[in-house]
Amino acid sequence: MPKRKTILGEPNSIAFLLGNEAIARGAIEYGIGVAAAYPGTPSSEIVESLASVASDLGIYVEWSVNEKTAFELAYAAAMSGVPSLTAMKHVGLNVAADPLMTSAYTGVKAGFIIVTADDPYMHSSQNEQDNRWVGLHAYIPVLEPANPQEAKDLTYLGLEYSEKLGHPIILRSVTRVSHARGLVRLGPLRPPRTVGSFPREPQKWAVVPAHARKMKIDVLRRWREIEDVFAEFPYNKIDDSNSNILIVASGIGYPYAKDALKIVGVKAKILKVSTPVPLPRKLVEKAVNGIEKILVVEETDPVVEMQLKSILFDLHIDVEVHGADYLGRKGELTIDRVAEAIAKIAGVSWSPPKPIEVPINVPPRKPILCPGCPHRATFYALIMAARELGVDPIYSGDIGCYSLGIDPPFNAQDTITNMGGSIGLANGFSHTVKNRPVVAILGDSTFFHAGLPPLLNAVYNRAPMLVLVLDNETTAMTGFQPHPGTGLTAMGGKGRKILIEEVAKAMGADYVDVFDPYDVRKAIESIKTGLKVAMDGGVAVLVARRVCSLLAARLGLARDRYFIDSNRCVGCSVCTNILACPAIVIGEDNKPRIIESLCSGCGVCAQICPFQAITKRG
Amino acid sequence: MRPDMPIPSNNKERVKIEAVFTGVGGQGIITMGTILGVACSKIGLNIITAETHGMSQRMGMVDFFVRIGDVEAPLVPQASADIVVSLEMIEALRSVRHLKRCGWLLVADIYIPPPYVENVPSRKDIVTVLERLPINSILINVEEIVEKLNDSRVVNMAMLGAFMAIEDVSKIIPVTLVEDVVEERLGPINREAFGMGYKQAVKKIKDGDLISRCAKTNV
Ligand SMILES: Cc1ncc(C[n+]2csc(CCOP(=O)(O)OP(=O)(O)O)c2C)c(N)n1
Repeated sequence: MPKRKTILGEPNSIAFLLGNEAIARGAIEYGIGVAAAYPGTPSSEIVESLASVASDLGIYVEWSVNEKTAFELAYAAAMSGVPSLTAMKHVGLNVAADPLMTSAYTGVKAGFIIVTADDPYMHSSQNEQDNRWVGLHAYIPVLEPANPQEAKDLTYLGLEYSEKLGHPIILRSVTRVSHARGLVRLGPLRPPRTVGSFPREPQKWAVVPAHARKMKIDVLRRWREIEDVFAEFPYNKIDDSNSNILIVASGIGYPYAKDALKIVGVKAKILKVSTPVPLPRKLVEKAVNGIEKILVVEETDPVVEMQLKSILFDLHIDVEVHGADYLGRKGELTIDRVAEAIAKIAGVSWSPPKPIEVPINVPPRKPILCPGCPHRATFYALIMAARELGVDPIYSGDIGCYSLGIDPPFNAQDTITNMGGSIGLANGFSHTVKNRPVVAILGDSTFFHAGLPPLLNAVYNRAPMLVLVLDNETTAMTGFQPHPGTGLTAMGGKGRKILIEEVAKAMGADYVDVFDPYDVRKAIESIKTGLKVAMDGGVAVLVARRVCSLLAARLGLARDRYFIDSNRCVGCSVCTNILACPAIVIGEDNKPRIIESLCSGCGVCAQICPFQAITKRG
Repeated sequence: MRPDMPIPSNNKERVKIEAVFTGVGGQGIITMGTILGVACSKIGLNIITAETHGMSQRMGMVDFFVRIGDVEAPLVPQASADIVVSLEMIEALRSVRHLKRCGWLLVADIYIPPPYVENVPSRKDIVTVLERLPINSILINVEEIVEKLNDSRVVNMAMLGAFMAIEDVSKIIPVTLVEDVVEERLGPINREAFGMGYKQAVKKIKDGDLISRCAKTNV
């Protein structure tokens, strides 16, 4: 149903919003004119919802090719007086780190909010970095909302403070804020400011050493000013109580602490922190009065705890401080985890209820490649090609749906580190492991995001490899966002469609070919040729092009029906063991059967069946 | 022009419901939460839900947390759910860990074995195990509802209907309100599915037609 209606709801009405929609609403209420992002769980819905209302509001919203580009675009908007937002998942901030580190030096003219959606427990990520550190590192203040309502409010206030201070601000969300839903009271909408101006002022915007040295002095001055301003920040507060225990709860730590206190039945004073970086000294001073023990509740790293200890040391205040020692520094907080820590510091005994035991083995249900996924067909062809050539390649993998190729029967993702890392690491392997070909495997969106520089490097420095781009014509993993290869834009317009094979040719790759993974024999032959080029010292780029089967189903594309003729089937298990399509199951008779409701009609199983037992219906 | 302060917690009767919806990615579990949330927003009843996106949606398992009333944080504490609604039978077994003693487990009779995994319990195994647990569990015949309405996508709304049959829920969220939101957002077929799930569950509870039963006294 229309997301759009919800996010543009009437001022003062109450809407049930996803945390990320609330962030988008906060930015709209402030009147941003520009938003740019690259998708990544759990951040994608922020710009997705902004894009869905961009033309109604007359603002500019785009999916950029990567986080650095998105950051720079929004940064320039704020330099020219147009308030802006950029959003990314936590690891995306690494990609944007270069301009980010300098943005504190130049500052901004209009409000500039940088949303980082961290992913504690790594529900959908490769690491658990806590980006509040980045704020300390870059001299950029960090706001941390506790729930969807605050996600909206702090986005608004972040933009307001950013504009007032002339300084960028980071909003640190986490999975359980971005992907929580709750009731949000909407505020009034200010008209967006979409047009800026840019008087020539290189001493402010061009960071040559002579300018930068002056700017650094200014950064340090602003940093102290920000700390004082944050001491009065309206969402920092002290919940008083007659207790000598203080809980310092940052962001989502606050709701966990509130619920946990109730469960354990302990009273404590709470300092609720919405501005973890920099932690305001004056606020700490006020809160620790009469306190004997402190528990810091924050998600992931002891960012507040370390600042707190340093402040207490400077103030010569000697109290017992616990935090990461009681709560650990990995995974998500839970009410139980916080309750146990509270019980410990209060010296009461409490333990969570024990789960009811189920006296039977419950089988795991891991995510898998979907029925008809073109990646499965490509992995099958890849394994077959290597087998036919009698080689055992290094599979330098990457991040996307195809990461699932790590599992049996393919086992074809030997490394997965970061976006673009497939080609990047292949550059290294190709110089150090001489007796095995190197295959870099990455998706189309990932190719445009971070695949171009390492491919250029491989061609230039002669790093032999086969680069296999799995082009399913979308960014599937994060929810089907468009990218340069689709030629569509975030706001639904037409951009220029960029073909991966053209890019590879222009870069000087030794061999470039495109194949359809649903055409199994051709796919195997193409990959064999590519492998041979790599083994002869060249760089081969192959594009396996076929639209994502989930997307095809969503678009309502026509599909064929297949069935297994049980008279022909001998139960050899090639379809189940080597292809492992979830639409094929082994029936009671020990023979495979196709679940027609799941089958996408790709026809790959029919091509690989050695007994031609799988045929199209009708 | 400052944003308003958060919504005042005006839940006079300090109610609290902890629930978990589970199933397999793609079954429409998030929609169940959205419908419930919109209904709660209309009566100013606090609700907070938490979901997982990304990898888990590729036919993986989905846990969706729903907390209503006097609550702040998004995750249901361990073994504390009052109600678990499972859209799939194997996931029902897995989700028992969320349930408190004598809590309600509402299970759809949908069976989706995970592909390429050994030792998967059968429907019968699952019912036999549930029979012996210290919980209240009901099997909802959703396949029948799907067949009657000739639409396989109504499983989620049928089970939301079953959820509304639990008295602690309908006491604070009017069933007709939720029904209207279902119709408004998803159309008449889904409203019908919701009603059928609701009625079936009400009848089973009234007739004592449960898989397992647990007396509150021996908690
Ligand atoms: C720096 C960074 N940004 C974003 C992400 C989130 N992310 C994971 S995979 C992916 C893109 C996958 O798209 P594609 O390469 O086309 O593969 P597909 O999932 O479609 O198979 C994204 C954006 C990330 N892991 N790291």
